[in-house]
Amino acid sequence: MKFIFMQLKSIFYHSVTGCVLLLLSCGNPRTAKKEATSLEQRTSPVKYAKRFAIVNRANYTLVYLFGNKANFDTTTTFVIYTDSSNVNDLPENGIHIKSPCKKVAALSSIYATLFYELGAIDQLAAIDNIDYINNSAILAKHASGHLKELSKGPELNLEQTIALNPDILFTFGMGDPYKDVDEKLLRTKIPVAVSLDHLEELPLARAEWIKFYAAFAGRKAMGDSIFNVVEKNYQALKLLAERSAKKPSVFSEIKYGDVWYMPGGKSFMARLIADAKGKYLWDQNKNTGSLPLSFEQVYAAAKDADFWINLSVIKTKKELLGSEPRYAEFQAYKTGQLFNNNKVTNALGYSTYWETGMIHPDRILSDLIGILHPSLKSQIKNDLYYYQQIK
Amino acid sequence: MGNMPCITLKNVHLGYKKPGTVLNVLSDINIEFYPGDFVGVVGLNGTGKSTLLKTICGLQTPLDGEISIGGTPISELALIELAKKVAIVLTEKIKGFNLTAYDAVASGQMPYTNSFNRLETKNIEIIEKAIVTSGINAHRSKLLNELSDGLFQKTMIAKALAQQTQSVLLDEPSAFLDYASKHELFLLLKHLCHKENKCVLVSCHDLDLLLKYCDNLLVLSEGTVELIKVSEASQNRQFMTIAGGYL
Amino acid sequence: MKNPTSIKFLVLIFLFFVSCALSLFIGGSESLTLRDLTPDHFIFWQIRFPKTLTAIIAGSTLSAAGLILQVIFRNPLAGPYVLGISSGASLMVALSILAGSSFHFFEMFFIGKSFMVFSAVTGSFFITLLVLAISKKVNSNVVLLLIGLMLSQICSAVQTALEYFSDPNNLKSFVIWGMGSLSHTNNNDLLIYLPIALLCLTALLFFVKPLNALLLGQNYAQNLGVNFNRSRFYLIMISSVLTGVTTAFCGPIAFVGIAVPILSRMIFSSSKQQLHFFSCLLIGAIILLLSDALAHTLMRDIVLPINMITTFIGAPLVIYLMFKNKHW
Repeated sequence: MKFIFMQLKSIFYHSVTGCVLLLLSCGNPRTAKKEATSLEQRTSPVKYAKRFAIVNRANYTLVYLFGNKANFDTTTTFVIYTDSSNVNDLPENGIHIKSPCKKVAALSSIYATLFYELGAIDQLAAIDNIDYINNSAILAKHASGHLKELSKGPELNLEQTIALNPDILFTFGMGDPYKDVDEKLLRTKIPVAVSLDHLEELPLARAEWIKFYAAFAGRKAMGDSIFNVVEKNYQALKLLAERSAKKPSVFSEIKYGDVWYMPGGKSFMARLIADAKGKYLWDQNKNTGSLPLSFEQVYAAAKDADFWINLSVIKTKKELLGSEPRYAEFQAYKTGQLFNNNKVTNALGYSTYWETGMIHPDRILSDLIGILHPSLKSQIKNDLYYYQQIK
Repeated sequence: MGNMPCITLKNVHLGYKKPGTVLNVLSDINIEFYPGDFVGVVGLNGTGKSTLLKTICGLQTPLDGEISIGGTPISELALIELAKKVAIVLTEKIKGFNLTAYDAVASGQMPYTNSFNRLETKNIEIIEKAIVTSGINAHRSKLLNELSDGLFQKTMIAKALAQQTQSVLLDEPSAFLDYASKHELFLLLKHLCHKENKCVLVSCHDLDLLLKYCDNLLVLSEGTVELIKVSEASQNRQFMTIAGGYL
Repeated sequence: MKNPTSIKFLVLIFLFFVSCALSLFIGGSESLTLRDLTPDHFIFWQIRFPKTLTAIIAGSTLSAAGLILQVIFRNPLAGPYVLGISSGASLMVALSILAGSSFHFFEMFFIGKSFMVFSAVTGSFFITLLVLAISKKVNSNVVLLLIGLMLSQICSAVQTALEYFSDPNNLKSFVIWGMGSLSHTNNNDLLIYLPIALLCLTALLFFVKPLNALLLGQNYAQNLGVNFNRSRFYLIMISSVLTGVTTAFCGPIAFVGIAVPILSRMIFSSSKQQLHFFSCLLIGAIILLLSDALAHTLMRDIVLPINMITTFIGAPLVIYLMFKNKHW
């Protein structure tokens, strides 16, 4: 009896120790981030983005992807090298990628267009769905049969992906690779990078992700230079907007059925409006996602707003009223200050806003300033890129 | 009739429990039935004939009292043993699921087959006999929903026969039978009682049939039951009330 | 001269192997041949094989569950979802995908989609317990059926509320789950799915007599020595586990549970439930295997949702046969 008791005690203590060790070891990724952050301060080229870090070392580059909304644990580490002869010296932790990646699967129009901009369209082997694409070079590559579509249905076509065997597959998700990606795909040897650019809060942070892709494409210089231009433009435009005397009020979106999904106060659009010196009517809100509001709530807050932007796929005032006659009550409607980001679309109605706007928030900012502050229009060199007035 | 009763009711009360009250249908039933008894159960609509029959074979529980089959209380009998002792023929219809008349009759042998319900030669013999005795031989392959009401009833009766029980309870078995078939049924039941020593309880509204063939009558009225000989029927006040002056 | 039942069974077995082959070899983005089969062929062993085996298990379990419930309720309209099992599973999955951060605490303990599987199992389990508890108190089949229906409605309503307030991305994720899929299982999942299914199906073999007796209705079954309440309890339990485990791994798969027992009764004129048990397993597997093959081959590059195929092809078939046939 005593013997059994001793055994049980032993098992108990070992279990407790085991659990404690387990919990401690779970904490490790934080040290990885700390390591990256400190190195970052020394060598990292990443200024705004919070969800990835790049650490340049002599023979390789480390790229870290950081977790989801709730925690910042590193979810994936990539070790990007160019010279195969040094393969044995590479750190063991992380996915080894030989750069430049020659066969890239980019499952979003944003990433695909990015590769085009980096001058790496030849390296693009597959996209998700050609329906979303405006870019003529990509359309041409698909038409000539050199570009595969891997996600025409709601889910990734696993077999085709495996048959293609890309060097790297870019997709987007919420930060947990086990949930974002079909785990059968995770078991193949295909490296998967779950992009978290859409979780960035600042427009420039989102734009900075071009550096992430440039690392894989072997186009670091190009990526840096594109971003530098974007950053410079953006800052300049922001300063320009500051000079405006007015701060017009703005609201966005339209309702779907009963619900009006209004971007939260800390969302991408909210920040752009703020940077364009517009008063976004929900800027007090702390949400980075969307708020499901009722028509009444929106009307009460925005009926006298100066500008109404981002009206889904609407192209004309008639169309707008057709979906809901009460939209006519909004002041913005009466004064015709309706602007939608669907100036340039493809045959299926998908706008270039998504394809290139995310990497060029300076263009969106330029558009917004031009819209909100007509007096400053003369100081902006370009016409509206993405926005058109709804008439 | 000095032998063991096959059905005994002791202080049995039948009724329904409703929230707050108890609805008594029949009370203070103390009766015994013996092998060889051919009893007709009479009563006006709603007096509890069906309830009584269902309670005797264990399909319903009495509010109070004890029912014994072959001397053993139902509560102490295994369900399968009870199945070998009492068979019932109800008015409810069965249909669908490819059941043929043969299948229905064959199910009467379920208490005697193995867990896969495999029919051995001895089971089949009994089924065949039941089919022939009930006169449904020509219709054995028909689906139950294709049978006329009368043939359906004969099929259910055949099933009860195939069940080979000491006691057989029948609830309005002759309702849809043609004139000749009604008489054939009662002759058959009488034969079962007198030659095979079964105990048969039949509820029926056709008093002439009961008077002609049964030995005893169980008269249900005013919440009580009374077992009388057929010969005493015309003197029994409750019975004559039920007859309504038409006998 | 061989007996027609045996011949029909042989035909079904033959069809079963043919549909297995179709699902394995052409049910994907490219056709494979036997020559392609190497032990480390990723697509065949990690994608096609689990998918085909899932189709077989899902088809058999749902058909068996449907058979049980149709016999218990003596109604060909009954199916595996009639007692609210799928609604319960659906609700828990909705909670896990659509509800906010409250559930993320639990998610930490699960890798990937196993949280979803766990949710679906929990959901079906709770509804099953509820239904079983109610079935002990309630004698009437009609009442039980109605209660099952009401439970189903309640779950649906809560689910609708969750859908209404959810983030569009999550919503899409959930809607896709609701369309059912045979391709989400991997070989590890099958190590759990297959034994549970086999266990339940084997257990069913012990209920052959009660199933046959139940055809005659509650009263006659009881009179023939079959304990109605007890049999119903265990049969509902088995059918719920069969349904719950399949819904957990595949999402709700439409149509198969109701139609296959009906088809079985049309093909085989016997009333013996043991015969229908085996034929339902075969027919159910065949239907899902063929549907899977079609789902992968009807449109180029797109895999259609399995529920679409099973219903669009199966339902008209049943309607047509209803007109031709008097057995159901």
